[in-house]
Amino acid sequence: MEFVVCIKQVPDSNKIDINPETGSLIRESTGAKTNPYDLSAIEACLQVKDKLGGNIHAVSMGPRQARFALRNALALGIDSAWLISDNAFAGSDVLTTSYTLAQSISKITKADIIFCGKQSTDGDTSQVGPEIAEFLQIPHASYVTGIKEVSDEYIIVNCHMGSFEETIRLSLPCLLCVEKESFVPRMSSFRNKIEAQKKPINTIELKNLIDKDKDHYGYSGSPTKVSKIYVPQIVRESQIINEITDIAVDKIIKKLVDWEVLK
Amino acid sequence: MKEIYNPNPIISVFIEESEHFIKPVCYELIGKAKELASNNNMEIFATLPTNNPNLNLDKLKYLVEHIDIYQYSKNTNLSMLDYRDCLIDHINLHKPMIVLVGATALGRSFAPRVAAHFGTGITADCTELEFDHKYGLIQIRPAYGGDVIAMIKTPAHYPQMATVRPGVMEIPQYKNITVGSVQFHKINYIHEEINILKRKVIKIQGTKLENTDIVVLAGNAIKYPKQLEIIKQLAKLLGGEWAVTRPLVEGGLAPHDRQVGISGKTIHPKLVMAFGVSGTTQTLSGTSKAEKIISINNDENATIFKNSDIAILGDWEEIAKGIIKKLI
Repeated sequence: MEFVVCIKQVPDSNKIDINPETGSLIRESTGAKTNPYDLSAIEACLQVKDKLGGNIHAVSMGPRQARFALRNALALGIDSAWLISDNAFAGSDVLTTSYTLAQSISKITKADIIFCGKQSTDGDTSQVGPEIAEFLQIPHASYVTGIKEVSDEYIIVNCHMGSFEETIRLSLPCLLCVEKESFVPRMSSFRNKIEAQKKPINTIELKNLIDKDKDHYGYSGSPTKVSKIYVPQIVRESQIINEITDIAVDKIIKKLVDWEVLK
Repeated sequence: MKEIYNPNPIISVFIEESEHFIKPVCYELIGKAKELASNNNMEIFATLPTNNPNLNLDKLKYLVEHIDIYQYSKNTNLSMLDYRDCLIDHINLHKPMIVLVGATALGRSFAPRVAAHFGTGITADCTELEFDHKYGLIQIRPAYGGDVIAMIKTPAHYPQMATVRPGVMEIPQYKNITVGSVQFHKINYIHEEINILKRKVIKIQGTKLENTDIVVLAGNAIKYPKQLEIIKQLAKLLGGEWAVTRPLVEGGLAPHDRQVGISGKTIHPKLVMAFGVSGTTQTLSGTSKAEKIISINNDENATIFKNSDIAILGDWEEIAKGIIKKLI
């Protein structure tokens, strides 16, 4: 069986500031980490491999520095790592990111199951997984909370669809976006950590893909454009009360009574 | 090569039916669509895949100009690929300029596929929409984890698509004078690559969050389960519910259905008591509809202080315990 897990390297912290004069973003250069949601995708994938055997390929799209997340995936027991990186891919929105990943995945292997995390902590859209599935013309399931049964022809999963719990049978190949709480990531073993250092990280560039038209990728291929970014305006104004605890508590209680929250 | 898409002055709204009802977010979308359309002679269309022959459409008919109903044979559980097909068919029939879908679990899952099919953009979880005469739909949502708001446009691709968070837009107050036309499409085919074996309604403990008057919100300063217990106790004593901000869910301290914010729930209680909450846009976009906000934080520069009715500078734990003592 051939498995692919999509992972993203995200900033350690989301703290950003806006330069009030230029309006440009000042991103605090903190460290990087693997998107926490993707660790659960790796775990779900490892669980299926434990049952059926096979190869897991981790793919990550980003600049050369995004190798950290792949190294981490290798340490967790992933078999091969692929960095999808090219200047032509810079500035991709959801559509071009998904297209690039779909193109890359089909280049790497004929995947039976593709695993994605529910969302990323920096983009927050949850849309890349479903779009990859559309580009590859395969079914997908979102919000996967459990794997009930899996064979080389189909998989049965539980999904948390808001007010429903659904049990869904998907024919393979398919793509799954998994819930974070449901697949608690394992720790990497010392042996895997050492071995991960020796494994190569393969690179995929535009020239390796079937569609080599650079207008289909990156900023130029992206249909959505950010027209403005701003810090939201203040909607409430309050005086800061700086009192000792007892007085502060009394003031809160009085307000709760005034507002008829407490009777 | 995709055929050229010449958009018509139509805003299409996807209607999601669940357990014999139309989800409220669909009416919210129609309300916003009417507002966007008010100055540009655009029409509002709706599309509804259903296997329920008795669905009451009276309200919907008076709100939109046209409805496409994709009628599936009885007892068929529709999968997201079926919803996808219906929306694609509706878009191909009418070539709307704008397509809006509720950011429900279903909408967030299938709408991106439709966008990919048309090679167009889609912005997830919008909290506001505007109409620009040059660029059409302006999609507005918190970005970069929620500290800032981004305005996003789709200048040259159609349809311009967005999913919109439930609970952030108003349900329209007025109706059309005329009844919208209804067209039925009988569908016999369903996708077999996805088979819904079982579907059961779940009672989520956290759903009370949206319907409660008092929410006690635990922020980043709450690090341990023991501390969260203080928040839970206070919520119980006040007759409200407890909730958390995103770091607590990511840290594994609380389940996602207790999360308030852009990637969690939008709440509109009478009171939010925010303990140790820094006040990212991520969080504030979930609490902005609260009537009153009291915040307690030991950092006088915390953003939440600029978004509170009462801002208390102090140790959250001492103050929470102090209130509990008074209430017991």
